[in-house]
Amino acid sequence: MTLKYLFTALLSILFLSQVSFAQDLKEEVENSIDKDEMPASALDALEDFLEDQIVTDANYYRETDGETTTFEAKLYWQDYQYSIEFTDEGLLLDIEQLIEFNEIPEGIQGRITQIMEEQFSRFRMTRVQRQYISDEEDEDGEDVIEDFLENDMDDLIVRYEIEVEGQNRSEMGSFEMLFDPEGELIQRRRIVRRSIDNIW
Amino acid sequence: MSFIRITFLFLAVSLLAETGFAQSNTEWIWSPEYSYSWKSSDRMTYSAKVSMFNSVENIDNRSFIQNIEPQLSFAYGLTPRTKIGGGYYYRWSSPLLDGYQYEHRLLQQVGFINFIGDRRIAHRLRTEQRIRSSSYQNRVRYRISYDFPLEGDRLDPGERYLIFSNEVMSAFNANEADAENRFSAGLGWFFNRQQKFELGLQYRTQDIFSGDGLSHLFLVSTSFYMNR
Repeated sequence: MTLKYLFTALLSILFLSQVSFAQDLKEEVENSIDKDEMPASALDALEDFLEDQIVTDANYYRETDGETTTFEAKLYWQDYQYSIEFTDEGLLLDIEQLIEFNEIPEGIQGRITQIMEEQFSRFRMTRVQRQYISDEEDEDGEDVIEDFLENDMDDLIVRYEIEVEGQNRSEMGSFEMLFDPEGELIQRRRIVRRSIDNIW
Repeated sequence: MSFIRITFLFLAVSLLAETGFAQSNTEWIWSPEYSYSWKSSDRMTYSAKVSMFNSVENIDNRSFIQNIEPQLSFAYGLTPRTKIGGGYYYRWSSPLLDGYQYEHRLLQQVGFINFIGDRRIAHRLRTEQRIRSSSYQNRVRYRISYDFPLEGDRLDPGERYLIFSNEVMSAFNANEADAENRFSAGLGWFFNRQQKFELGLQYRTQDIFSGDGLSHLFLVSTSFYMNR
């Protein structure tokens, strides 16, 4: 009987500690939502994609880090996967297109590779996205989708977001690298992967 | 995967377990486990773990706790996907009975992890040297594990995941050799990046080469993982 009490107590401590720790932490969370939960102006902006059966099926998500909330539509169009991100007010942030590295113009490929080689002694690209954002004249991103569908690239800024597994003398891990239209590095962020303690 | 599918899966595993329960050479074990891991650098990870082996049939007597096993191990990342490591386990068998036994265990391992989005496939090859109070045994083990989120492409805090694994192993010394297979299915709760909980069911097919027939072991695991 004593054993039963001992184990009940141990399990209780374990779960109570879990609850108290969980309250102290803040993380990004992405939830699948229905179309009608998207901001109305985001749906208006997506209308060009969704009307005329250009795209018949899209998935919608809400992402929050506890402070800011964004909305995202993920869809396939003409053999590419796209994610289109909006603020909580429905203003367009960017269009991201999943591509292969060799789809980037050769000169820019060369510059990106050169920067990767400067950053890491060994690296492997695991995900490459072309990012379309509005230029300075279109601050609210109102015309990005229209410009994109009309292939009017003069009014868009094209950047490249590349996930890479890399290592050098002082660090090793997964990183998200953002490059400008010329292939110059704008931002480098570490991707925090889940612990492998349960499968290692 | 829908909740109905998961429920069906667990029912199927439970039925399999029920079949095994009817046989005389079948054991049921409850194994609680607590694991704490920490990184000292991008490449180096340490892990401390304590687990127990509790015989469900003996819940009302002093044979309930079959063993307690504190463990210490480390992993060194050769690449973002490949790790090597080693560790030491101490097993304290039958701690509530007079004349308890011990085991020292050394282990060496190499692992490779493949990421498909937030799905993970991990391979692990491990060698062990088990130094018991009355014998010595070598063991070679290979395990493949697969875990994936149940809600969406990405595992976010508060979401659940499924994990499956299968491990084959051979145990041998100068006088004898045997083999064992362990299949596991588990449901995990990912509270946040520092904490998760797994409820698992493992089926062990033991004594494969013994010539006296197979023995079966069903293990219900409740594992709590913390890391920083």
